[in-house]
Amino acid sequence: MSFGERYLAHPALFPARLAGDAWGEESLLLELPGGPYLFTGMNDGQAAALERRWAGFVRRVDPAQAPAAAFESRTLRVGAEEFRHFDLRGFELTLEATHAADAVCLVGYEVMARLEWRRDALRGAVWTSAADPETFAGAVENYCRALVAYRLAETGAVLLHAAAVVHDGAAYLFCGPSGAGKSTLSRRCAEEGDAVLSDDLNAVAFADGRPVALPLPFCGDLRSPERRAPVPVAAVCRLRQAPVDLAEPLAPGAAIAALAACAPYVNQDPHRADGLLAQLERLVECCPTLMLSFTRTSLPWPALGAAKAGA
Amino acid sequence: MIGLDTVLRRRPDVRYRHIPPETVLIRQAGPEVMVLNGIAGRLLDLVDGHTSIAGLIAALAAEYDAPRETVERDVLEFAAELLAAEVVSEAEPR
Amino acid sequence: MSAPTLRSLVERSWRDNLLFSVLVELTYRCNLDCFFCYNDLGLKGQPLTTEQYLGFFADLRDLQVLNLTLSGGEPLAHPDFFRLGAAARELGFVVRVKSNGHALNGTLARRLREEVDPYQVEVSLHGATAATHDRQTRVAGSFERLVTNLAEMKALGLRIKVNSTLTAWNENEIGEMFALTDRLGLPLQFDPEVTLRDDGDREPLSITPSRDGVLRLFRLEFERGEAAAAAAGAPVSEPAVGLRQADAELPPPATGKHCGAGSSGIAVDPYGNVYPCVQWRRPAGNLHQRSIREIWADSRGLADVRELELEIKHRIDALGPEGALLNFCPGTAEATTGDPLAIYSGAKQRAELLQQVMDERRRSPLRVLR
Repeated sequence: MSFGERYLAHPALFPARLAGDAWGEESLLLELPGGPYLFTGMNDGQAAALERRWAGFVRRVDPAQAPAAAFESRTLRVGAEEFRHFDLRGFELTLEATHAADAVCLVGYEVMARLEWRRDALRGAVWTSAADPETFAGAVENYCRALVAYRLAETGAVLLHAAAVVHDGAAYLFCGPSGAGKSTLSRRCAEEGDAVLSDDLNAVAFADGRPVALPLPFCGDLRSPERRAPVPVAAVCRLRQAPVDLAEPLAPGAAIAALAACAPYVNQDPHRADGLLAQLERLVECCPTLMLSFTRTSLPWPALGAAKAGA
Repeated sequence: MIGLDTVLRRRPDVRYRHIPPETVLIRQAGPEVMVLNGIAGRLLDLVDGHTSIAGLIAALAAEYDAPRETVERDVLEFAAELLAAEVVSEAEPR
Repeated sequence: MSAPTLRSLVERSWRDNLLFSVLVELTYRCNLDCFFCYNDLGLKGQPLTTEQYLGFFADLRDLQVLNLTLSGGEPLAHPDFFRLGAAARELGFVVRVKSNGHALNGTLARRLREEVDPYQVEVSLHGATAATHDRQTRVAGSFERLVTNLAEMKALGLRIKVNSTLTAWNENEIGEMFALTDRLGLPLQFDPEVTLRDDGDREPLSITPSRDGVLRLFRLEFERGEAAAAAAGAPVSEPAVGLRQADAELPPPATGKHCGAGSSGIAVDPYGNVYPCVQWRRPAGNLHQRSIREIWADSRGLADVRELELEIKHRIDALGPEGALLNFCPGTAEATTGDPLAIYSGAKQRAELLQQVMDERRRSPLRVLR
């Protein structure tokens, strides 16, 4: 199936430039790592839905007064008949992508998006038919996750499909695809009083050469995280479910491969994958990376503590 | 051969506008551009696929306050020309 | 029916300010990204709703507008293109669609034919090769897709005209482009001038064709015109070379105005802004605030344009034969120099090169005669 055929009625109409019909005149400034990010062209209800979803990270803004360095994304309206509609039960929603040196095209259920680098500036647009504010917000967030992934990669950071839990003042990242147990583990840790940055997507950057976890409003099953200061990363773990709890150090190559598999969007981009691998290599060099086998009901700390003691 | 009972309809590829006292007409299938004089242009408005030529004559005679015989002669002549030019066609009998 | 008085009818529309032709940019969304596209993508405004468009079309019908051109961006990318196109057909307009043709195959092409039935689809070709065409569109595969789609569109009975703008990138492929469209059985018309973007951005001018490129085009157009006339057994005369296409293929009338901008034609952008012409972006009103009937009747902007048209005609006529060769556009003059009356360098060059080619052909012993 070629690009867009799964989701679009007319793939040949996929936008090739960042233009179209806005929904309204509302704009939001999203203060996230790699940003700030300016979203324009929403109506009031849509902006309010994103404000609820990203509470603490976003505010309304007059685009004329937005920071000059903000990365602008236009939200644009298309007709429902542009998209194929089908039974979503049992269907895992994904974003398909095509990549060029100066552009990335994304398409998913009721959403099309485009990132492009022109005159050394990254800008984007997201087209959706979702007038319902909550559905619109979901479509825009799908796009925003990709946008943030690319911006983080540009700044030497990385976006990981990972839960991040703060324990004893340090952040532990638990990576894995959907179903690996990120949300389950996060929930167990939260029950015991640990803070969860996000149970789904987290950003890791470097401050003074040391990895830190940066707050993002993107979550899975758990409620949206609060905005907080960056937290030093103590370890990065690749999750797998097993009958026993065990944490084993990963060899650097295996660690990089495991993390690359958990670095969404950019890991599929042949124009930027080399840069991603370089950043992951840097992360693996300065931070313990382990394979964490866990039994879904247990906490990871004993196994991690044992691994640290044996190191 | 058209007669007073003939019912005409505009061909679907015909587009026209009135710029009084004339009417400009485009026949897309040609393509062809034509200009009609006043009464011929008005005739186009009245051709609706239901009204017979007799009905068109009656309507135009009243509008132009002209003798019926004159209008009948002109309408039959114009209708024949419009038919020949493939601007109108005979409607299917009901 | 009367003898053809089309000329007098068009003269009257220009003289009496009878709105005859409207170009509507339905959306600036596009599935191609042509380097030289003139759309102002930074333009802000409230898009006209479908209901507003339908009301606008009804108003145009009441004003006896005949020609309605749906453009963009890519008009088929408008969410309600087919509803609007069908309405335009139903209201009796001569509908033209300016499309890049990239998506016009299969279902969309059939729907265009069946639901809109345009008088003509105007499609842009940017080169005779994929390398050149795709360089302009910045979408890989667009050339191959276009050539395939043109054949399909023609087979469906769509009437197609191929347009091309001469650029530094395609100026060495003019002959091959004509050969390509000849093989497809489609007419090709070149515009020898690259224009600014509507926001004043001069970047497109970086691919302005060279003098040699323009000469090449004019020479080839003369040859083709004479060959076509000879083949048709028609008298050989100076063919229409390098001239801006007249309104709806109607002959330019002998009136007191230079062209029909603001007098018989207007352009409208996706945000309801009304302009005298797609090339002349001087605001004349906005459909969110006033009806087209009101704008047409008492817009200060249109009144100024109509006065300017008289002055332009006077000045061009005063130049004698050279004036006709300028193919002067007041919109380009204003965008390029700030003054709609200024004879800009592009017009002067065109006149000069056209005169050169005409002189060559008059001197040539090999000129084809009937």
